[in-house]
Amino acid sequence: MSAVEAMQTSLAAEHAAVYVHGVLGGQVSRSSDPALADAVEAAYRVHRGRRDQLIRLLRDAGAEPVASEVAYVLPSRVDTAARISAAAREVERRCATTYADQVGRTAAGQRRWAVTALGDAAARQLRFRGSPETFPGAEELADR
Amino acid sequence: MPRAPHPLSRRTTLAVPAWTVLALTAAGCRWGPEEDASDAAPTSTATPDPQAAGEGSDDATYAAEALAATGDTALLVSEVATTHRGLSTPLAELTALHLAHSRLLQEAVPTPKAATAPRVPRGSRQALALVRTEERRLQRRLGDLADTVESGTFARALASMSAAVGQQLSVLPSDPGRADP
Repeated sequence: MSAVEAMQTSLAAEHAAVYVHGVLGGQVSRSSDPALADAVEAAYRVHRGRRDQLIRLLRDAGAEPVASEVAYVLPSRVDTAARISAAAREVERRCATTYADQVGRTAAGQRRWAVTALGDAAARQLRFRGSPETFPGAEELADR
Repeated sequence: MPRAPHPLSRRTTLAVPAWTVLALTAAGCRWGPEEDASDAAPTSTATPDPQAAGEGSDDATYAAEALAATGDTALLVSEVATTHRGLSTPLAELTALHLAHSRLLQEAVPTPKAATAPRVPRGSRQALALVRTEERRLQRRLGDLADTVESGTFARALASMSAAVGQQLSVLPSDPGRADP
């Protein structure tokens, strides 16, 4: 996989993240769980920004950015705060994996964006009741 | 109008969250393949390649730097936890993290440099603040090295280590009073 393909994969993940966080934002109750509502809204904004950055980066690289799907399926029902958190956490976990892969596929001196995005996604997992990991985005390294 | 397929490989597709595969296309609803989540992880490229950071290469030098930085920070955390017993529990995860990272880095650095003995502040608040400062420094250093090394697999591991330190910083108490068991 080339660096451009890795960026396309990250963009596809961002499209999904924007969609899912948008849906979750509509499900969370701001009055009963303002912290979760804030976290989902903040994550939505970050992913929208990352998506737009990736689109620009890909166009700068002469590639046609991958388009989003019309809709995405959610992992399960998102009718409780716990399920909403779990869905949001899974989005961030998957994005972290994708960013880590992008780091590995990009040349030295051009990885900063993905390194930062990986760190952000790992930190956001904690806002959705996640636990710190030994190797965020690269879980298999923990088994070595 | 149907969209032209984008030039993504099967591997690319699998890296997208498996549960986002379901697309409600303009032609109607369709279920995507049910891929195991483990399929989505780029496992074949994720393991560090000790040879890529082998002795004599620039990456070996960077690996030694990463190991030295991790070792120095680990020693500080250990000394702070020993000196300020109330901090030993909240710092235990950091210690375990540094140990795991050091083990991985040692695959590329057979003769690591000895860690520098730190000066631990007498006050637990100052000691905790110093730990925070040094962990932030380590997080930045690992991120910088991830952007610098030649090997992509090694860069991926370093970026992950940097992110892991960032996670620990997020859960580290800022007030030692709240850290006491």
